[in-house]
Formats: sequence, C-alpha cells, structure tokens
Amino acid sequence: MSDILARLEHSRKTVANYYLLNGLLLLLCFLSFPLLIQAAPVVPFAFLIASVCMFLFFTLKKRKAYTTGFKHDLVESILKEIFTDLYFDPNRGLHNSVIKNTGMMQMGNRYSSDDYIKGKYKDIAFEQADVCIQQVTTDSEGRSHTTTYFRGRWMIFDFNKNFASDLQVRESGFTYAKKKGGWFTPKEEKMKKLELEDAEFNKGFNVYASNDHEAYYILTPHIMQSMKTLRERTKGKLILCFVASRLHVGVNSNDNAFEPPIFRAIDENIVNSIKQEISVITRFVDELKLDRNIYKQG
Amino acid sequence: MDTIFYVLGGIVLLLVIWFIATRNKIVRAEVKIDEAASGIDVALTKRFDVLTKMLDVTKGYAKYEAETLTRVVSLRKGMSMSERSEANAKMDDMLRGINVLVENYPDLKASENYKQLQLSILDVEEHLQASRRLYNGNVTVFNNIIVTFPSSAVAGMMGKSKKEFFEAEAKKRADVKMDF
Repeated sequence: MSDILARLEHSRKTVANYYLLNGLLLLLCFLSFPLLIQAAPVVPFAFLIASVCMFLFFTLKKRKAYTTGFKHDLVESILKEIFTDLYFDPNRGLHNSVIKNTGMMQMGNRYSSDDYIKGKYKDIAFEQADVCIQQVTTDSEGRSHTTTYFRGRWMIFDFNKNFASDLQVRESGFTYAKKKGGWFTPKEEKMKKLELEDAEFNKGFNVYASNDHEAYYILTPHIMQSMKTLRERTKGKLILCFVASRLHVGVNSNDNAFEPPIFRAIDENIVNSIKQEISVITRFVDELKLDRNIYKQG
Repeated sequence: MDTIFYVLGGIVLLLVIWFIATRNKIVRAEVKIDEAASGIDVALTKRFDVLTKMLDVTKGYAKYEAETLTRVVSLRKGMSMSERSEANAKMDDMLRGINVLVENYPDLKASENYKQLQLSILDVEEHLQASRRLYNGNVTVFNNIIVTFPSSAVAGMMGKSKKEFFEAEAKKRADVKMDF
C-alpha cells in the first residue's frame, strides 16, 4: 500500500505543479495585459495561448493518468479488501433506465453516471454508481438554466424479503422524487401515503405504498429505527425505493465519490476518507441487516 | 328576513355536508379495519398450516406427542379479535412445544425439510406482525374518530363503538426462539 501511496503522491505533485504553472501563466497574462497591450500586445496573448495549450495538451493528460491510477491502484485495492466478486469500472455508470424503471425519480433531460461498483458484501449482492440527474431548460431570451434533481450515490441491494408491490420512502426535503400520491399522479402509478406507528419516523420520512400490508411487512420497527439512524449518519437526503424485491437507495449528497485530491497529499488520511466513502455502502447492509436472509427460501 | 333565511340555510347545508363527509370517513375507516382483519386471518391460517406441516414432519419421530399438540389450536370463520388473539397465543404454545420436541431428535432438527419449515414459519410470523400492526393502526385511527367530538356524535348516530385491538402476547412471543 505504501508503494501505491508514494507513486500516487508523485503523480499528484506533478499534476499540482502543472496546475500551478497554468495558474502562473494566466496570472502573467492578466498582469501584462494593461502594461503591454499598447507596446507589445502579442505578449499577454502569448501567455494566454500558452496557458490554454498547456492545460489542454499536458495538464489534462497528466490529470487523467493520475485519476486512472488513483481509482485503479488505490480505490480498487481498498474495495477488494471489503467486497467479494468485485467489478469496478470508474468510466462506466448505471444506465439511466435502471433508475427510470423504478418510477420513483424525476429523470430530467440530462443524465450522467460513473464509478460503477458491483460486488458482494456479507454475501449480499449490490451495485452502486455516482449519478447526476439534471433538467436543462432555455428561457425565452436564450439563457440556459440547469436544475440538479439528484447528484450523489445510487445503490441497489438485494433485499432479504420477497415482495410484489412498490414502496417509496423518501426523507423529508428530498425534492425531486416522482410524487406518487398527488392529484395529478396517473391512476396506475398512484400510491397511498402511509402513516406508520412511529411518529418520529413519520416526521422524518414520507412513505408511499401501493400495498399497505407489504409496506408494514417491509418497514418493521427495526427497519424504521435503522432508517432513522442512517438518516443521521449519512450526508445528504435519502430516498429508498423497494422495487421487485430489491432496495434502491439514493443519497443526494451533491458530491462525487472516489475523486482524487490535487492539492492535498496522498497519505493514510486519503485511505481513510476512501474507506469512509465505501462505508456508505456497507452501512446500509449492516444497519438494515440485509444479510439476515432468513425470510427468502430456495 | 331573507338574509336570516339564507344564513340558516347555508349553516344547515354546511352541517349536512360535514355530516356526510364524517359518515364517509367513519365508513372508510371501518372498511380499512375489515381489510386488515382479513389480512390477520390469512396470516393466522398460513401460520397454522406451516405449524401443521411441522407437526406432520415431527409425527414421524414422536407420533403421540405431535398429535397432542395438534389438538391445542383450532381456527374457524368469524372469530372475534380476542378469539383470534387467543388462537395466536395457542399457536405460540404449539410452536414452543414443537421446538421442545424437536430438541430430542437431532436428525429431525438437521433435516432439510424441517429447516425449510422453520424458515417458512419465520416469514409467516413477519407477515402476521405486519397484519397486526396494520390492523391496530387502523383501529387506532377509527377509535380516535369515534371518541373525538364532534365526529363522536355522528359515530353515536351510526351506532359505532370502539374496536378491539389484536393483542400479541409479547411475553409469550419473546419465549419463541428459533434455533438454526
């Protein structure tokens, strides 16, 4: 591990130096602009062109190599320590149909996903990826407006109970879930809002179910307690969708996981922060006791 | 004079609308209770079936004791909620009896068939718990409507009274332990 950290730290320093050099050239451009624009106008433009060319042809290339090395050499090796049957592809993501087919999220018109991880934890199969869902609109004056519906982690777990109907549990304040109980919801998609016996849970989460009994079957007092704990321990608003005997979890944290630092040293602290990011996955299995697979047979 | 007539007419109209809305609310709450009660019946029947299967498997090893346990529980249609609670408590006893019995037969305990039935009973009990919570939740809503003024007045006119809860005997349930 220390070899990997040393190698990545060397790459990081190289990339950081390129960024600094880029910054320096831009600074020279701005400083020389008022001084030399009359006497030698070519000089500030030369600095600008040099900075842009350097960024495009060297900095980006070095950064890409560094990012690839960081994810494959460091992140993947840590993932392998925790998960079995691991498949990790930083350039691949979850297909948008996976989220769309749950029928639980507003999908906007721009979708991107990367850092795909598939594996098993405590023998529970899961998939996860970073996901960004946005709605881009143009107003009458031609100005573009981007509304981010979701940016964060989307995880899918095998659930330890079989169920046929859909259930949506979204944290209060999770804005862009597909509303299932409104007046304008199509009849075939309509779900009933449920109030469960835990008043604190009802305050923190909105529950929509197509079948009351199955909602109670899934949301046991233990699961409700775990969800409250997960809400406190997880950065970002949560949505949990129970669809086709699988649990989809969206963590709208507005950040990108497993990104390499540029101006922060690669050391044990980085390893710990990667482990923290991975713990978002394991936490759901542990808290919800998904490995307690005693209800499914065969 | 006309103004008074219109005001009184408006008040009467509002009262009629409120009465109909409250009546419908009570009826809907009662329908939900009936639906949830049928869910309890389904879960109890499933539990009884699985327990019967467990006893059938056990009979191969301890015929007399297993038959004694079978006679403890009976389910019939139209049971009151307290009778359902009682039947459920007897099933707890039955399961406890089976567990004690099985302890004497390691071959039976280790058999795949019996293990499958143990998994089934756990799942059935989860469903029964879900039905119980759903039913009791609906009963709470209904009871709150009919004891809270002014909807209690409408409930009184409809002859509605408080519904009984489906009690799970927590102490007995805690004693039921599944070994794997």
